[in-house]
Amino acid sequence: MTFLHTRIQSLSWMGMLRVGTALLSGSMLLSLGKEYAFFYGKMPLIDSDLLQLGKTTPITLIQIDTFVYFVYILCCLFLLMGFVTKVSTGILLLLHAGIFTSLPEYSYGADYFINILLFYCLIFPTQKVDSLDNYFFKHQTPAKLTIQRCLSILRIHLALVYFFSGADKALGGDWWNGEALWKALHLPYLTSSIFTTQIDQLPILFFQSTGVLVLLLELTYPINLFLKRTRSIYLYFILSMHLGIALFMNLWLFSSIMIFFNAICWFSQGRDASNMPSFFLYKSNPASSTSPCKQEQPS
Amino acid sequence: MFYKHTFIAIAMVLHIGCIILFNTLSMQQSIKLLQTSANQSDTTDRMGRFDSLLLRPVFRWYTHLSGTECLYGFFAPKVGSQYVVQFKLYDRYKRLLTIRQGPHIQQAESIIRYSRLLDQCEAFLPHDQQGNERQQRYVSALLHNLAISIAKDSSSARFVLCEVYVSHISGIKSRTAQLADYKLIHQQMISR
Repeated sequence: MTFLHTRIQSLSWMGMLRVGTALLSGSMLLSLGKEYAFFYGKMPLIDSDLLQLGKTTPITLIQIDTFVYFVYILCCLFLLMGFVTKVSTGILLLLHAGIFTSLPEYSYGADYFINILLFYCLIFPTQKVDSLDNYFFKHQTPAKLTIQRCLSILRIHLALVYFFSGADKALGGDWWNGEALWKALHLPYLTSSIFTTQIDQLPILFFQSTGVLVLLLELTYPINLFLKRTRSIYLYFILSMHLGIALFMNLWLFSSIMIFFNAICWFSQGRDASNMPSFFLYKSNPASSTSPCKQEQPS
Repeated sequence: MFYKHTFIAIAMVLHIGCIILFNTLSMQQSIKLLQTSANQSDTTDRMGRFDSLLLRPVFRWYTHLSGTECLYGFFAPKVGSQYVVQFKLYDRYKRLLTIRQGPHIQQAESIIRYSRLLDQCEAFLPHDQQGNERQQRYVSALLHNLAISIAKDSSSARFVLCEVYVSHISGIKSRTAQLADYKLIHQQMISR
């Protein structure tokens, strides 16, 4: 763990954002295997002209053939390495939007969150740190204010995500009495085959209390994550929630994206930590002498 | 430098403002769904004020590419039902050849996207809203396409009967032996 922690600390925060986004974008396409052709190929299950009748998005639908597939993966690799970063990110964003989010009939939360991460990789100066672009062109390190602004935008965005998600859930009564959680865990296409019988044996109080816990976690996210005292334990609750979603509902990619999004916002800020005020820092182990994070002096 | 900082500050505020705007409108939609019909006119008027902004091409491109139009009401305000479609393949003499539950997909991500497609079958549920007939015709066309694609696997299949079922999960307090009940909401015969 110390070795991993040290390696992570040696990366910049923006480098981690860029690398993680590239990996998740590539995973999105690769996770479909050959079945991408059923939805986004040249000979899909549903005729693309018909699907475009119901289209409400402005971007043109892009169908995946061998060339588009190759360009998509290549752009993910370039983004991963930070090579011609802005160009590859721009092309990847357009491809992703044209493939995965142009048809709402096939889209779900993971597609939109990848879209968001790609957009932030495009507008943030991710090419200036820990990248091949920086190696060849020797960019100036982004100013402390720039890094603070970028991180602030991400954190505010994530806080709004959870707040509105919780507020919308709180409007209905089902999340307060456990019915919503019970139903969500028994949906025919989102049921985990491993835990079905175990879930059915759990008492009603478990579903009621977990449903209320999910509501409270999401509604109080903006408060608890911006307060240093509650941040650590709260973050582990949030990550546990997403791990539970992955295990019990088979939403592995979506959960990975949300765990990454939370980690990039609130966990180690890497090499940039020494340039940041303490408000932005995740409180790392003060006993670690190799950590470049600021350490609070005992009173 | 001052202008640069000012521009960045304004851009940040507008970006966050877009996120708040879309999600506030989404919550209004949720309230509308939960309210009785007598009070729905108030929320409709408030939403209409933003149409002129939301439909502008520049705004639509920006919100789509930046992801700010994404709504975060997952399983909210209530968990929606899912729909299962069964395809019965018949030969030219109307003899049953096989029953298919859908296309041959195995990847978890593919299953999620297929279930998202089937969520369109909500149009076949009884609704009081206008424009539902148009949506039903659209979904019927989707099912027609889907049935033809599935029937391609069987060379002797001439007719396909699409049966759309809504999955109803029994309440947490009842916990009957049969947790999920499937109710037929739509049938459609397609000929190749």
